Amino acid sequence: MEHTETLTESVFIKVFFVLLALTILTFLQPYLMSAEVAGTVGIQMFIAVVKTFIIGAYYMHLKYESAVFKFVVAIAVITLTIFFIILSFDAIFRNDVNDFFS
Amino acid sequence: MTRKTFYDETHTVFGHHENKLFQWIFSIDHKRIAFLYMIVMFVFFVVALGVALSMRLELFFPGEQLLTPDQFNQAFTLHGVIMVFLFIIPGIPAIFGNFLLPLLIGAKDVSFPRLNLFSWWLFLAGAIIALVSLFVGDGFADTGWTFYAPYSVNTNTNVLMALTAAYILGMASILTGLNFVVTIHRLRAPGMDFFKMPLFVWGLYSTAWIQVLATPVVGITLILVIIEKTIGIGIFDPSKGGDPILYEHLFWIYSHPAVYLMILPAFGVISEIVPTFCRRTVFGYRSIAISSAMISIIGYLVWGHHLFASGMSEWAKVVFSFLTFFVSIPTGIKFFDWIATMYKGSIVMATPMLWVVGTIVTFAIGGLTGVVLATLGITTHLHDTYYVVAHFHYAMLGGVIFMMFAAMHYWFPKFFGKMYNETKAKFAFWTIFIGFNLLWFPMFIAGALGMPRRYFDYLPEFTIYHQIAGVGAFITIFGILYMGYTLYKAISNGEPCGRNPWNATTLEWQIDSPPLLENFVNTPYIDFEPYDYKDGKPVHDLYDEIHKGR
Amino acid sequence: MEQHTNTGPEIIYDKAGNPHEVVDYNDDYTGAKLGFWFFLFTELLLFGGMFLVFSFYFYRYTDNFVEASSTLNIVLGGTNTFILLISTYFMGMSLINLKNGEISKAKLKIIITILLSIAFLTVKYFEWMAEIHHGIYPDSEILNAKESGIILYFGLYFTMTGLHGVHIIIGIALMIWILILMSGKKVTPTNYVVLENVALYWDLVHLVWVFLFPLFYIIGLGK
Repeated sequence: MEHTETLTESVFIKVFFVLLALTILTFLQPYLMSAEVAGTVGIQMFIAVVKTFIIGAYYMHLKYESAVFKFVVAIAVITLTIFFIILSFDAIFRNDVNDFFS
Repeated sequence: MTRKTFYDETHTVFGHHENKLFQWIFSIDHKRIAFLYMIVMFVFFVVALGVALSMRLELFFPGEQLLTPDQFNQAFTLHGVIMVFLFIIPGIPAIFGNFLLPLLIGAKDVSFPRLNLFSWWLFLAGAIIALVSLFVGDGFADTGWTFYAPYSVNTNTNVLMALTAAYILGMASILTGLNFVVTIHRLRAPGMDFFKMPLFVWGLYSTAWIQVLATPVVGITLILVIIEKTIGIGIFDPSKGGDPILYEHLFWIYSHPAVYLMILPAFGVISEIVPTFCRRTVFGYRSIAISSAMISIIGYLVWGHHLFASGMSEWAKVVFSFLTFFVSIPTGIKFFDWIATMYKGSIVMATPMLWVVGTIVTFAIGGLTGVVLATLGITTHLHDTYYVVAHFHYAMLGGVIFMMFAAMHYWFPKFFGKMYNETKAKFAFWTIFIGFNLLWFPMFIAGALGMPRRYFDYLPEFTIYHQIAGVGAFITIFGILYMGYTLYKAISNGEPCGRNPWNATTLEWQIDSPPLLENFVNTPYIDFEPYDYKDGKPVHDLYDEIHKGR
Repeated sequence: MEQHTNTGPEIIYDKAGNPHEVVDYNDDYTGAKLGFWFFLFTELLLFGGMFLVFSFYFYRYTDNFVEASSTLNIVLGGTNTFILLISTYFMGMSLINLKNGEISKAKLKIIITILLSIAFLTVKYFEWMAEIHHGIYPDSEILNAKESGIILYFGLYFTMTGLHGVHIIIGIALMIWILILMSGKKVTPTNYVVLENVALYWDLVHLVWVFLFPLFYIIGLGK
């Protein structure tokens, strides 16, 4: 289960600048687009997820780890996503009157 | 040739001690840590049984007998908190998982032995905080073990201490789960791939994943209630726009997987005992293994069935009802596999097997009544009645705790090198089994007729059910004490037995009873199935191989 | 069929005579990393639970949340974002330095990370003080008089940035501990899993902020 060391200093610095650019983008986004709240949230979360992938793969070394590590992280993320999805069934429809059996 | 066992020597975290007590409480040997858990847990189990008895006595007649209404609320909270957080959730993994996991996979200890000891110290700390909260201020929390907001925020009883205790106990659970998952991934003996592991290990593996995945959610929930109580942020306070149902969602996102935490190791115990006492390999090994993982996964999706009557949206109720029906399928698969193993096997009705057969009956009732409760049309009528109480006691007591008793009898010879009195053990089983059914079955009827749960008093027409249950309670507790006494006597006076009195196949029976400190002198290479029997006898005997050179 | 050696790893042989190494739990680099990843997992779910609560109330009180967000100080919040990003750069570089044998460079980078973390906490302190001076803090009279969504927004603001801040403090303690271990030669260019794990922890702390920042500060920006 040993991995080859391929995260070099130069890759590390390049990733830093990518993250810096993305961070600056998060500040500019509301001024570049006059999106409704939902749009802003959507784009901001998308940028955050992209940053997460980059940080996870490079800074946290996941790209170079064995399958077990990737599996563990995937399970955590999927679990959390499922909680969001199922909880939304209550959050969104809480005050609706659904009379399925009338 | 007497070898030193783990009772004679140990590794400790702070270096050498002369004092025997320090050699136990600072030991990083997984086998001694199992004992440490066992002692604390059994003490609290007896306390919780006492509290239960006081409730049954109070409820023997209508009206007030020996508890005030407030004390009654504290009693069912205390009973629930101890049983759930201090006994059943740590339960089989803390005692039998800790002792047996390394033995079953051919390892010398778990991956993180010092973390293992730290888990026990956290467990002890949580237990002591919960205990202390009984005696200070306004006494123990009176919210029920579920701590529903906003009442838990507003009551003056020691909810803060109970929440803190629960949080610390959760941390202990997380660290143990983490330890077990890494151990199973890293320390299996060479040759033992995932589908050659004993099924108890599969049970522990699925359990450990739940411990790591679900417990943090209740951790943050408890922290939020603590913050709410101390600085009033308002997230569960309707007057500030907060939503109490959100609390219930967060709480049950952990607490439903928690019941799978409880039952998966118990199912693992059944999967160990059945092949041994049917003298043949288990039917459908892969389906049992994979169904453990499936229960673990699907168990995350059903928490809303605790909120059916709380005001969720209709859509949410339909989704959760469907998912709950679905989760019963993997359990059903296991039951069919075990029964198929027994069919045409040479069944030996020793005490562990007797417990397993008893559990198959009681857990089936518990599981099926759960499906009844998942049915939307009926659930509103049965919600918060004695039907629910009977359901979860059939599942938790009749499933998990019965299997803890089975495990105690099955691995007793491995822990102590002695055998208990079989007749007395069987007598204890029958007493407990009969008492159990007398205690809980009437509650299904009482609940369907409308008897509410957590109620201090009741209408006279329910009296007969409470009285039958009361008698059942006494018989059950007598049986449990008798069983404890039988086993306790056997520790000193039991018949010495060899390393494998049951003639079983798994690795723990291929080493001495009690085991050496390092378990295996030489690690065996495993290239065979865990339950390899031929004509009723084990195929492999690795004892000499493991001890060569000693 | 097996050998039991006193030094080095235990090697056992299968029926074909092939050697297999038995993993020693006292010396398991992969196991140590795997165990820490599982711990990070639990942190992810801890904060994930908090984000669940946030999303729930954001959906319910969207306008209030946007309004409250616009009152936060974007300069201070933004500064912290860059401080944290730069600190993860230094933390990660320290690990690369250590693996290359450049121990003093590694230590220096850790010290810089500690200083940046203290800067983060200082900025956060000023942000909080600004709110508190305006009478905005949990259960204050001024806050309780506002609309539900605003009350909950600030309740979540103090709780989530507070919880995040606690993790920064723990991170600083871990970094100081690592420096001690490096001085005592317990963490070396060949035995660096503890530093690797602390760097992973720090990346997680950063990741939480990556989500926290836009949800609290950006949604009200420009409004």
